[in-house]
Amino acid sequence: MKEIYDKEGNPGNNLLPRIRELQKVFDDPVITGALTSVLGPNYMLHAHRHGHYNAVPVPGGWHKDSYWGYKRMRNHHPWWAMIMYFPQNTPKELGPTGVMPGTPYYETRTFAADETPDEALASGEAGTFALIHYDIWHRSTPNLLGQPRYMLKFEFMRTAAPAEPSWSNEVREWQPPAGLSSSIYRQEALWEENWNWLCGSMGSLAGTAPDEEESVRELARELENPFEPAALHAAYELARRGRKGTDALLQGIRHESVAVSRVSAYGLSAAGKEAVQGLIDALSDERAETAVHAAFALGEQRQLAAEATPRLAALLDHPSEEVRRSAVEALGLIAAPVDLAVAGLIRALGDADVQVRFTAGLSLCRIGAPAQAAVPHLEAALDDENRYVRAHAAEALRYIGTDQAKDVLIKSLFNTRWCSSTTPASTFYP
Amino acid sequence: MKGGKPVLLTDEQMRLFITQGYLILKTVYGSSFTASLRIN
Repeated sequence: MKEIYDKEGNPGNNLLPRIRELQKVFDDPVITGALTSVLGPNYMLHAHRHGHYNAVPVPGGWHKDSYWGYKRMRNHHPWWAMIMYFPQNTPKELGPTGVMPGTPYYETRTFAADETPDEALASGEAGTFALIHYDIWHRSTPNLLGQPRYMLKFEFMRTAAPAEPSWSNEVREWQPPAGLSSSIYRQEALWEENWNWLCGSMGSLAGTAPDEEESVRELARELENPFEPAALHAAYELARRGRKGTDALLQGIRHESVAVSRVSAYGLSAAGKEAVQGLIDALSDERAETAVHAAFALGEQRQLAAEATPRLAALLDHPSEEVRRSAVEALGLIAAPVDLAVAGLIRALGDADVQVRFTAGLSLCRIGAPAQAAVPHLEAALDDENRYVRAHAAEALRYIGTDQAKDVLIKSLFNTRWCSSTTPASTFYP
Repeated sequence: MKGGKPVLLTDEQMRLFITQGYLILKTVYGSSFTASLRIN
């Protein structure tokens, strides 16, 4: 590995084919078990992967990762996860990755100091890894030993919504973990929703608290709290409070503050069927962000939002790329009526915007075999100028999985087969 | 190194993942695998 980095530089997305031994990491039963537990058994290893090399004695800045350089509205439900794998013994002096507990759900940085005892370090013996919610705040810590420190980052996507727990579940009801750090803001409703969602429930918060006017009014005011954890807490609490809570969130999604609109969308994504018509109406809002947030919440409502599909398909003509991207993602999550969703995604494969095209590929992965009609269009997408459109098209063919899809895929994979022994210094022999 | 039956997370690990947003774990074959990577 060191020789490759020294002589050829960072292999970037070609990390796995260049260092083939690494594939064995993803056959390790602890890795497959952790990913299966969080993302279900049909998780996808994303085409973007990166081997980070850290030899500097100063810490990196706190950040959340983009999606391979692109932006999208981040899911609270675990649709995405990441593994940071440390192939060498990594004591804290060697600069392991640091993560900030409790922060994956926040768009804003919610902690002030760079140095804090709350930071958790992914330090340990060779083979240690951090399984993270994709959106957690993290950084590199100082490498004080000056020896090479590698961290191999791989990204994973859930391709199917949960129907039942995919971990070793014994107790069905949500309860917080023992000994949870007091520094983590208590997001009981959000946590309960995620647990129930992972157990196969949808809109689980709806109607679980009385819709008393005073509490709804107070929570609606809290949506404007500039401290994001408090605003988000209010959004999920409103999702519990029936028609009145949902109406407050529907007002919130049209709020003049885009931040309030966004946290309201998260509440609506967990509010159940009662939110669907109001969200469909919000798709027509003049402000692009409102339509993006509404499409996001409808997508998270999946089949409960099937009546939104015609309107979402119509949004593929919207002048805003952000709106079209969100519509494409929602079509893949709702996937009903499936013919209408697939027809929309086929159109999206020809969109002028790269992100619309590659999101269409991911959405077709989630639909799988019922998206067979997309196979010729995915075959054309294998020649797209963008690497992620090509990669997602290949994945979609794999998840569609029909004989026709496999034939197209195998031909393409052989045509693009890359030899891990061939380098500028060794072009053909031995 | 071979695969094997996935070692699924427990309820408590899932609770921690949901609330903290991460878990630090260790692979079964990590140490023996390191030599084959020639990282130094």
